[in-house]
Amino acid sequence: MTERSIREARDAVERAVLNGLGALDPEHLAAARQALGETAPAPEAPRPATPREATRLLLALCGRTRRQVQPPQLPARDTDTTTTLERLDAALVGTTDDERLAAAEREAMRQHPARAAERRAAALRDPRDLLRLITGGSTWERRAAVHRLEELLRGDGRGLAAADRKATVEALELEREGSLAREIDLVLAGVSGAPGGRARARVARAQKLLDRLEKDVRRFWDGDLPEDPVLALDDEGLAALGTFAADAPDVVVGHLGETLRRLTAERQAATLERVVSALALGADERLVPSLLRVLQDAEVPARVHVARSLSRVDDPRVPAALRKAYRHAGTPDEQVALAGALAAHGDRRGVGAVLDHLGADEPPHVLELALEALVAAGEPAHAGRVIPFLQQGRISTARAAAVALGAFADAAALEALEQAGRRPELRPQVERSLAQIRARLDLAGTSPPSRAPLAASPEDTPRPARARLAARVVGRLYYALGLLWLATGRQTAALGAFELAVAQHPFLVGPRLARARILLRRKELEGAVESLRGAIRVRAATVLQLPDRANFVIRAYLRYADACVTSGRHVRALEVLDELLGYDLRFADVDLRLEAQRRREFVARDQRREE
Amino acid sequence: MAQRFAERAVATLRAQGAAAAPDDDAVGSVMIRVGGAEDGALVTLDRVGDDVRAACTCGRPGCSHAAAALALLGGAAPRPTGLPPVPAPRPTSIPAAARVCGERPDDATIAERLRRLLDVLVEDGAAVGSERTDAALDDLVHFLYATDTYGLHRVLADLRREIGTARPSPDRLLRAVEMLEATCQVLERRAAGRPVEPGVYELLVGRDRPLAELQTREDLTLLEVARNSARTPFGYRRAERFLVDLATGAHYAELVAVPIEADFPAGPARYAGSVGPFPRRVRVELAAVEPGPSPQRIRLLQYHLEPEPRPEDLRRLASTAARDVTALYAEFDALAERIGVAHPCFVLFAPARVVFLDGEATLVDAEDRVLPLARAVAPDTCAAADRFLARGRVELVVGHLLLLRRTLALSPLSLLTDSPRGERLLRLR
Repeated sequence: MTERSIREARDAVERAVLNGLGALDPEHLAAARQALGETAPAPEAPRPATPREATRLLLALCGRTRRQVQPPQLPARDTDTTTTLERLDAALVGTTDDERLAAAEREAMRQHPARAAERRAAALRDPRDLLRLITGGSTWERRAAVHRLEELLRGDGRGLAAADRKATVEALELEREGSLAREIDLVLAGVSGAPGGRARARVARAQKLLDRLEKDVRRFWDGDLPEDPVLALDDEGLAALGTFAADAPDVVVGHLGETLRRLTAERQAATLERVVSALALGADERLVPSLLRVLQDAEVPARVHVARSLSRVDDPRVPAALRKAYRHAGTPDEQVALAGALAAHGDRRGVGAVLDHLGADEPPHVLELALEALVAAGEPAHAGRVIPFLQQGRISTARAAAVALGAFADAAALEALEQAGRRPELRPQVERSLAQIRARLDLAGTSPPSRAPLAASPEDTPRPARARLAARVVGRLYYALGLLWLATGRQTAALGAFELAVAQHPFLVGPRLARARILLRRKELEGAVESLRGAIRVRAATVLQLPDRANFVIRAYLRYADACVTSGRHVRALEVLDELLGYDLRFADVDLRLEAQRRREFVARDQRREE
Repeated sequence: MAQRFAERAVATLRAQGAAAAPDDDAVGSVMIRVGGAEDGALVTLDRVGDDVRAACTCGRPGCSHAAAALALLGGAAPRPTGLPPVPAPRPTSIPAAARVCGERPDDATIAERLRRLLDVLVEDGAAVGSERTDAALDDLVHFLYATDTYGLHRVLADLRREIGTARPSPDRLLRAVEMLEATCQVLERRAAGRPVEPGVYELLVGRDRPLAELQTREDLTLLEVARNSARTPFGYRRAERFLVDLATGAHYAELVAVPIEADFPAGPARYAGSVGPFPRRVRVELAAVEPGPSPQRIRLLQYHLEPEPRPEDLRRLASTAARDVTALYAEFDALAERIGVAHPCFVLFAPARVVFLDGEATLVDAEDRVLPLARAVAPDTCAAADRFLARGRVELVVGHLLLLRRTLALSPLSLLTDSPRGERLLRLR
């Protein structure tokens, strides 16, 4: 038998196995038997094949041809620019359905929005345009623009005039939002000046946590530490780990992955959700295998968090896993979250499902998830569906609507947003959304119709009247006296002095903050929050634009919210957290902001369960 | 109050005619298995000179397994409730039907059912599909649910997935049919009492063996080089961890069936697997190895681990890798010859260089022989490998060699790369 006849016999048997035994005619069957040296050609009609014989022949003939497989040689270097891997594959193995499908898959990967974003950012030369892209772009565009800006700012800032450089750095610091905050901090840490100093302090704080964690992980696996160091972190520490996981050493990331695996296998749903939600701002690519496993095996709440995290990870393994998870999604929460994540990766198959859940009669948490999904999935035509939610009484829904509009809407949404900005609790988010839309319009060369800052509405709480000079001086004296009492440990006296200071000089922020610190130490949390609220009302910028103070505000509010939850007052806790998230927290540490959002989500879920 | 386990054990030994020997020195070590597959572990007590060294396979000092062992040895007063001192099992009830499925069917029954599936599959055409085919496949999957035929499960899961896709790959369907035929032949031969090549049954059918039948290995230094895991329709996730012996270069695979369905029985016979982050260096004091082709299945019984490999370990690992594509072909052929069918072959390959065409990597040895990545099988993993390969010098690619039509391709599991952070093992799956 020649090699060719063996190959033909094998092809015939393969066709029969694939298409049914009827496809194997007696001649081919005889040839296959002969190829294996089983029977000599018989003059009488050959026996018909049985299924058993067909599979046996398949196995035997494939074994024969397998031995002829030889390693292919790399083709001679082809300088033709049209050389592709498909051609190499075709030369090696022949083009089949499999290869064509794989080629289609590869093409889809090449069309990932992150690639388009990189090309767009690379084409921009003016740092102001890059800043506009950072303000108004998608997650991928923002990230690409930050990296491009980093190139411009690197070293001594060649290519940028000193004034431009300073303005760019200051503007960049204001863009420390969500998943990009860590990357902006890393860029800023490389430049001089106050923004650089603040960024270095934040990076150093995260590094300190990671160093400690690395030691603890080693001690844990040496048996010197009984408790898993990741699970032993408090919520704030966990949020910091999630935010800065990309900077963590391999041993910490490996341990985090192992913790996720163990919690998934042991079905510790609540603990798993707590850990996974800390990765909401995106995860390091080293964690992708562990996260995909959580996506496949965990309970729905953890899967929703993982979908959120994976929507920000530019990794080829993610879209396929999301598609698979979407096909098997069983609950609206999961379906909507996965549709949003898929849309972030350029796959819009779930947009219809997201829009289906965009109704006032949907449960609020599903509606808010749908609005969150629209951040990636929405397009200007959807603005009309979202704008009515700006008027929702539930502040978290209205805020989610503002976020969504900021992400995808065009000039048509500006008026509705400006009106919504009259609600003080919505104003920071509305301002951010307006800035996003305007940045996109600027980039597109379309002049925005309105640039007027949001005017205070008559419903705003009126600021106290300005005090007379004498009262202001007395107020400051009381403040100094309070500080003196405080230094000597007389807290009650200090509190009295601070109250008198505020009574005399209502615009003085210092006594309000000092009072809040004392009350917090005394665990009088409501009083502390009230004092901070007053300080923010009279001078929000003085309180919230200094990172330490902004962080203090978040911690105080979180403690108060925790106390409310502990005493069963979930509604109050939600109000407090909504109020906190309504502030402009851009100067606070990103992990603390994440923690506030996580806490709100957990409290809202607890409240749903209670209801 | 129920009789304690220790008391029942003493009674059993006495019933077998054993009398307590006065020579305590005769006892070298004691092993106590505690808990089930989910949370179980093996507590080992070794005599080391005048001291006793205690270790638990869960790797944590003062764990609940050790506490249960202590109670068994009389270190705690009998508990008044009579409850066994083991951690509580998962709060999932096992329906009676599932429990029946979880019993070990014999080889003849499996062979008969598998043959039935193959017959239907070939009569109707694997690529054509029919209700009969689907029913036969579902029937076999249901029959093998929660059993320990892990090798057969893998092929059936592949076949089921392929049949379930909109456009099944003819190549993968044929590979699955071949593999099922080879498995069926092995089962039939075993059922008929005829001899089977050593290791073939273990690889193709892959059933658990009792611990007593396994070979023991002591004092190994293993480096975990890759992981793989996949959900199966048999109630569990197949989790594999690939380990390399740094002294001999031998490959081992730790296979764990992680329950994903509530009715999956987590019996004490199931190996719960070792713990530790990837990559890890494992100092194994005691392990049990199943016979079979490389990578042999291993159960780590007593070990300590370091959560990070040392630089010299990675150099040693790289030195054990194949550098010649022809050698990989020979390795693949040897395995296929041994078991009678083309089977995924676990390999470590150190390419001389990586050629990029259109941003996609192909591995090339010093003689310009090509080992393509298996993009048709795992496009996403291969694309992730492309990214890592493009970032730094690659020293080693760990993966499975697969026969794709007329050539071999590598489905990567992990990479050893030299990056600014030093040499690192990166997981792809």
